[in-house]
Amino acid sequence: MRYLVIGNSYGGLAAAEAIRKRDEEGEITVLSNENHEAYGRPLISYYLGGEVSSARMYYRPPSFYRRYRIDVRINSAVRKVLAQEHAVVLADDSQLSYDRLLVATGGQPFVPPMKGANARGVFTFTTWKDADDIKAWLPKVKDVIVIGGGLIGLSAADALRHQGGVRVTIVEMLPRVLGLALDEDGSSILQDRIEELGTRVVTEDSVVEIVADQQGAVNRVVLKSGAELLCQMVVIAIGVRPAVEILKDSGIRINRGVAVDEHMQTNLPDVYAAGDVVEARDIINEDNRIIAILPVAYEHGVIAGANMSGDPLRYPGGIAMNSMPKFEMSVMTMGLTLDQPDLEAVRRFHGTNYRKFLFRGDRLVGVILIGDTSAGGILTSIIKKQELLDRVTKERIIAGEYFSLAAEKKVAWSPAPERTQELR
Amino acid sequence: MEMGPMGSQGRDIVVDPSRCDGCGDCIESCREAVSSQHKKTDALSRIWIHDINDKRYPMVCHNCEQAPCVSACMTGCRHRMGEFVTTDYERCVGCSMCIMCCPFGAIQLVQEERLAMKCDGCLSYETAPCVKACKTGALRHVGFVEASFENRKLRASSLALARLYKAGGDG
Ligand SMILES: Cc1cc2nc3c(=O)[nH]c(=O)nc-3n(C[C@H](O)[C@H](O)[C@H](O)COP(=O)(O)OP(=O)(O)OC[C@H]3O[C@@H](n4cnc5c(N)ncnc54)[C@H](O)[C@@H]3O)c2cc1C
Ligand code: SF4
Ligand code: SF4
Repeated sequence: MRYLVIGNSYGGLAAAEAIRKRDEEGEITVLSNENHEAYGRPLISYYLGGEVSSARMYYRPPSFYRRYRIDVRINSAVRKVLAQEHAVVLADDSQLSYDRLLVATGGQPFVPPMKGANARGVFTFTTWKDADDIKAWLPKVKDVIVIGGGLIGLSAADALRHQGGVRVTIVEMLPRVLGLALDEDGSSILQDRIEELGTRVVTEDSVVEIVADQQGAVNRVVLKSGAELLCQMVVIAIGVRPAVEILKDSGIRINRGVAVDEHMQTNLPDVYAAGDVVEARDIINEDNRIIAILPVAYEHGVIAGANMSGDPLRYPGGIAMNSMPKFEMSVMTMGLTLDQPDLEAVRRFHGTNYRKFLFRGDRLVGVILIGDTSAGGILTSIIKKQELLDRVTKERIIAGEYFSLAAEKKVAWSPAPERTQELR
Repeated sequence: MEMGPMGSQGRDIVVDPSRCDGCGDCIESCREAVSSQHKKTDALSRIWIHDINDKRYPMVCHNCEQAPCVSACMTGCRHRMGEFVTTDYERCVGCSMCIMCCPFGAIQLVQEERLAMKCDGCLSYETAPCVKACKTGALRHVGFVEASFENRKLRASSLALARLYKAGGDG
């Protein structure tokens, strides 16, 4: 059996590992269009901020590919998937054939059509190379504009504020930072902290034009409000879109992301997909959608790999969540976090700690934790289970006594390592 | 198929809360055993005892089969070695992704160190210090195949005791 994996990151490698556990003989090839072996993608902000050296960026030890007998090929971009022929076309026009294909191409940064976006000193921030490019440009920089106050924008801003003498301004279109994950209370706590630490935040405004100087280097940005901000660097961090161009005309069904069933199989029987490129089950919203976070990418990969090697595991679904210890503040969000008419919201403030719980009837569907985020995973697992909670349990959750739930559960619900429990 | 560089460790730690008298000897021995990993702060135990309705529940990493903390680890430092879920603290950045995903609350962020620490099984000891310290048999070593069986047995015997608290994941 020849397995071909496009994408050498969380989704692709989880699948390769899962395949090798089940199939000792098959040939596994992993392709990447990047120039490094797999690394922790979110670590690029730690690397840029000087907290993590290049040696510590790698996701797996050097012996990994050899031990798992994975033929990894970096600098190998796939240009096109020819699903009918069971082959892919590489950048140099050579072809590679496969019996089973995994598409784990992740997301690619979205750059809106904007005048001046190709000026020198304008960067996106999703790859190690981006971080290196930014580093190389930094000596020229006093002021940076970060476009986008979401996870990636805040990661970039937090890394850049650690560069001596650099002033960072975040421009966010929504009324608040992390606006898709945090409610107003949460955002304002975080924004206060960001500003306290010397980073400026401009909300409800957007960059309409980047203006370059005579050498073609960034000189300033023009905002929708008319304001102009001088800067020598712009980081565009508006979001990522599924990297699906190579699938054009392949016959693989794509909505916003690649459509898959509960086995992570696409509409074509020998093609699977995993990670940020995929629309898979969302437990809370009860539909299929993109959840672009790494635990989800990894779990997709495990399921896809198992199925590709003949073990028909089902994907139980995931939830949106994130943990962001940036700007010296711990923030966790799991599931739904914004108020909705059909949800009961309970808020608790203790000093600088904020906890919010969202219930749909007797089910926990979302949590925000700011400050004290310890044992947040207990809540994640309660959300994922979507079980009906009795009054006592609900009260304990709200009171922050969820440790006790896990302690008793550990006895009653200890996870016997059974194969059916491959996930969770 | 066995991939871990150290091969199968062949043992897990199982907890039998009904035998725990709350003496805390395991906690002390754990602190001692892990103290060398703490550079900026006093060592914290990676086993805790929760007192709930007059019963004692020792809490320690459960070594999940498909461990959520491993799926969630952005650096890859939390990984399976042999059959144990263990951690390379040189590479941990304290991002807390694993804490957000561990169904048992078994991982603790040590703020000063920027590390997310948990019981890594003390694989360099033949008998883990906490197991050695436990006089009542509440903590025991069992083999991995056995662990599955033991866990199920314990689960069955404690269902009566567990009553209400059905919430949470399977780990
Ligand atoms: C700055 C930053 C911070 C983040 N922080 C967090 C966080 O705190 N928590 C969290 O859960 N998630 C975070 N994320 C998101 C997380 O990184 C992604 O969810 C995760 O990397 C998705 O994994 P993946 O395997 O689907 O794809 P990716 O990691 O995107 O990898 C896809 C791979 O496929 C390769 N590829 C794409 N197209 C081709 C082609 N045509 N030919 C060959 N190879 C190709 C790419 O080069 C890449 O190596 C962050 C992301 C960024 C950028
Ligand atoms: S998820 Fe928690 S209990 Fe399970 S292996 Fe990881 S730390 Fe241990
Ligand atoms: S805190 Fe450490 S162990 Fe946990 S996910 Fe982050 S890097 Fe991995």
